[in-house]
Amino acid sequence: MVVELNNIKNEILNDISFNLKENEITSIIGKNNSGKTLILDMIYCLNFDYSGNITINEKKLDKESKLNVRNDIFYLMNDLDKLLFNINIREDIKYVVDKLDEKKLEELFKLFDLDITILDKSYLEISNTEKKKVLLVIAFLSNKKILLLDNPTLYLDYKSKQSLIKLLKRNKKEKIILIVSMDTNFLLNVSNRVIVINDKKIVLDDNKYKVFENKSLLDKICVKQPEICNFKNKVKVEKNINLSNSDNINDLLKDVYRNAK
Amino acid sequence: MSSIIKIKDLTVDKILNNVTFSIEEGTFNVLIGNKGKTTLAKAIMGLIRYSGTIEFNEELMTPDNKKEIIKKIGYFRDNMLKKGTVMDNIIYPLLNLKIDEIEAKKIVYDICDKFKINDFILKNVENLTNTEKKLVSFIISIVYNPKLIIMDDTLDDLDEINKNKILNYIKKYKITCLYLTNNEEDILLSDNLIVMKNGKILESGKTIDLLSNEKLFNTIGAPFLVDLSNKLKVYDIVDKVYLDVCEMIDDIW
Repeated sequence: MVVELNNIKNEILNDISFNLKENEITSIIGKNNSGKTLILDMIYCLNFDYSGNITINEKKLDKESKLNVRNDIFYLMNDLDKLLFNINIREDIKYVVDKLDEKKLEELFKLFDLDITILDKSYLEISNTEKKKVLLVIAFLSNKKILLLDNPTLYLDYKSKQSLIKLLKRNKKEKIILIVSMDTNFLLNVSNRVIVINDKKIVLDDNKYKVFENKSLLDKICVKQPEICNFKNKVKVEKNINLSNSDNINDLLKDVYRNAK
Repeated sequence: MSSIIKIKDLTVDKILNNVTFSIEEGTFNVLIGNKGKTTLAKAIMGLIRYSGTIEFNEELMTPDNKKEIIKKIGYFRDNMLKKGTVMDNIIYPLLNLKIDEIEAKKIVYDICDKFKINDFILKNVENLTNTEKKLVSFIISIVYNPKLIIMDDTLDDLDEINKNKILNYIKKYKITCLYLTNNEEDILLSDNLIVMKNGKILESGKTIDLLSNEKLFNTIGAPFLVDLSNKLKVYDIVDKVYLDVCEMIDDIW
């Protein structure tokens, strides 16, 4: 499967082009209001206000094919109530997931520390955190080929973030995953590729290390450098030691240990 | 330092269990918790029933006085805007305090000027971007000079400029702050840290004292430097918890 954005142009974006495929988690970073969420909206056929085109498997997105296209996509939107509106959460899940695998549901609930009693509650009775977790459970239950995730770690506690990282890595082989987020520590851990948007354009589209080590670019787009990259940079600048690329603290730890002795 | 708020044995059925802590005036406090943060905020704002006691400025909160007390607390959260313009939304708490309309309008213009959003004071909130909505929400929660601001998980989708706009305002005007979050790096912003797990207090105290508590950070994420320090301590590469990257790097190499 391939998602292609070709020369997308409108008031907010100017000539955006990139392709997405399976087995590669892509993230988009940029200032607030730079058009990141808009890109997700456009792929999900919520917005056709642009010139250029978006294709999925070479088929152009248009208003007629909207429902068909959405069959293959799960979009975790900023507005948590968009997909939660049925009489209870169980119905909300069934609304999206065709064949409900009860065992998988239980496993996912456990991973996100969700109480099974939530299934009988409605979205009005649960917290933002619980809504977010339910939507993430649906994302991984739905078996949709394309996952669009807007701020997936917002409202999540530490353990749930770890579970999300685990699930994304587990699922990336068969899915096309696109994440928009300000949580650069999370993005460093989970992405392979990062697209940087600034001044309406893509200014960098490269592997995560190349992007997250570029402090001056990150400063320009007002996005915080991941802590690990910041540490690595400082070690290079102060001590002229090149630690190898790590995207998690345990690998960094091993590397520091090797180099410190 | 006097305590602005004293919470004792606060219990909300199945959500909060005997929560006890206090907040000193002028401090920046971070509360990390996987469950119950919003419920805690709602209890303080008098929006839900609870058992236990809440004292604000040494005065016990009761159903009779809570309306007056919450006029001194700002509650900054997502989805708090009401239908209407930015002006309608920001002026509302001022009018509620019986401030004269002309005077209130002036206050709104002044504060929007501080945040450089004069351009959209008369815009309908529906037409704002998510970030603009957030800034307006923040302004609503501080426009009436509350003694305490509660921020409920609101900063994680902001870029550094917008996040700092909010944090710098709080710092500049020395507003006592209770910041409810799960962002472990933000622990380093705080004077005091309160950690809840499943609605119960695990630990609370001065942040600097709690940072060497490794056991605590098995439950919640640790700020990166704290995490790295604790892990390097195990290998005898360092012997303390560092808060300054350069100091740590100098000591290791």
